Amino acid sequence: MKTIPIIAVAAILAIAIAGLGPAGTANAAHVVATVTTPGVLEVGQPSQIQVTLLSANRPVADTVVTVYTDASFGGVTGEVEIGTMTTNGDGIALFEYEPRHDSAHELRMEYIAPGDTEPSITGAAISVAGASQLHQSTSGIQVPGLNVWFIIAIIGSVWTLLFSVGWRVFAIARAGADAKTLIAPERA
Amino acid sequence: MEAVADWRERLEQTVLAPVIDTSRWYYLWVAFLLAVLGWGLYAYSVQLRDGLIVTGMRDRISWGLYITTFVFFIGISHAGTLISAILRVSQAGWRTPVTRMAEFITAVSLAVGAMFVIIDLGRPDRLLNVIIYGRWQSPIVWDVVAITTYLTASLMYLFLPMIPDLALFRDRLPGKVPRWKLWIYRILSVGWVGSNAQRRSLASAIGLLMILIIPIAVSVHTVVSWIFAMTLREPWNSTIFGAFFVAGAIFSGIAVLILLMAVLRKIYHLEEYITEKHFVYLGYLLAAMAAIMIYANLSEFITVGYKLEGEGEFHFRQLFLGQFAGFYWYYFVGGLVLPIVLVLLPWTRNIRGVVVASILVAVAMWVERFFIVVAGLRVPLMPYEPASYTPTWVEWSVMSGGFALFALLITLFVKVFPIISVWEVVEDHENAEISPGPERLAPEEAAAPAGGG
Repeated sequence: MKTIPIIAVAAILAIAIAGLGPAGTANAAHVVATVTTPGVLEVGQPSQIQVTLLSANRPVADTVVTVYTDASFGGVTGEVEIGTMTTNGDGIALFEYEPRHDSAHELRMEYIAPGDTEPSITGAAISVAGASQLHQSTSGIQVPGLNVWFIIAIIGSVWTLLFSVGWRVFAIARAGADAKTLIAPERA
Repeated sequence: MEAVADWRERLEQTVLAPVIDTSRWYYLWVAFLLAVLGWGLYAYSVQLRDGLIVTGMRDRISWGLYITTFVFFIGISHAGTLISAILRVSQAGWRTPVTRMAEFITAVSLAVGAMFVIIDLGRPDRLLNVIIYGRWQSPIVWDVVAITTYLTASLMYLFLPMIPDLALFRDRLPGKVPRWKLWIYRILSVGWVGSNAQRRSLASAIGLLMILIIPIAVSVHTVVSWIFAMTLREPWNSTIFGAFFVAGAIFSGIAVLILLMAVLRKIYHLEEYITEKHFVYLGYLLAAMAAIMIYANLSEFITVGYKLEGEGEFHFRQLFLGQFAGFYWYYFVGGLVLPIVLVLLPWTRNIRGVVVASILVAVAMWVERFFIVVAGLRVPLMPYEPASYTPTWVEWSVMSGGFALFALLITLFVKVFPIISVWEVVEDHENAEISPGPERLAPEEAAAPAGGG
């Protein structure tokens, strides 16, 4: 009679080991994500960000990691997806990141471990140095001296000459009046 | 000496005649123009009431007949600059009988052309936004400044050489014309008595203005072209657009001047002063400008077509083979090649041949403006079906009203102001009498006295 419970317990344990064993290695709770960044990044310089997924010191391969960051566009601020990467056989995913502006960058990474349904989250804070803005020039190419004052000077010169021509009409009228004054006494 | 006095008297009588005598045909012509203008005004009132939805313009093809006509009129305004300023600078004596007509065309076409921009706005009150919110970086603001400056300079350039002739009218017309006309002549002749001091001032003013007006005129049509070339549209990405537009403007200006010359010569019997020589010489200029236009077309299209990037292929197909092929090939063959042939062939190098060439050119240059504007906007910016544009009756009517206004203003000008610059023709005639070197005369006139009589 004792053999039946022993067999039953052994069978249950065998099923549990067979069923839960592989799942345990992929359980997100057991996956350790490590993000490695190069320290201080430069604006416009591409750098590699490495995410390593390990479960019980064993690499978690073929897991897609999606990277997000905060961004503002058209007056709206929110989180945008900036790329995806997949872990290799060593559990390593490499992401090339080229910061477009300076100051602190927060990257958020999501991955769904094998056998899991909910995404797990990790992240990294990166400090970026360099020019304040890479992708947007402040106002195009500034050629010294080529500005609104230059245009005003040209237009002003043209209109000054036009007024000087107009002034000559007054000179014609004045000369006509003088000539009449000279002619009138002669006639008298 | 008596012959010169007779000749001068005959010239003055010829110039005074249109102001004194008015035929029934004149009133009929004015009535016809007023009717067309009235119809155009009615159509415009419909557009003002209902908005631009009554036109064929939509969001994708947002410019049509109005902007085409605007560019055309600004183009023909270069007639005055070329004939009056460039030929005056180059001291071409033969220009004198036709300068006034060229200056008329300039002033009137500028005013009418600028009007079409306001019509295209839909809401004319929005014009103030250019002044209130205008930015100096905008080609639209440059255009407003350039056209305003050119209109001012052109009116001055029309007025200044007219002063001695207005004085002639003031002195010769009392009792022959209404008092309001005499009042105009008295005011506008600014007390001209022909003294040396007045002549010096007038020569100085004209001399300064004829130099100044050439770069102003060039700037106007260059800036008009930049409105297109600085807009992100594949067919307008051209570095030669400015030069191309200026050449086209002078080209169409000469054509319209020749047509006006032909009409006024016939109606007011100016055959003695506007001779075949003037038509042939202007025909030569027309042919030279046609050759420049052909070169500009080839230069632009071959370089773009050889690379054929982006939407260039679509544009070339619609222009050379598709929807606009009829327009383009008429423009190229009928408006550029054929006029050269007409002017260069000895048996068509006469008044009739040059006038036919000018009609072809005037129509072709309007057509060219049309396909530059509409075909340029038709090229899709994104992968969507190309839009279509069909002008409505409102647009055709308003455009007809504009052309009627142009003709009406010229008609009224002719009735009030001297159509020939008498003092300049006399000066040129006297100079020719003093020194009638054969180099001053056309080959067919070298054996005869200059001035045609």
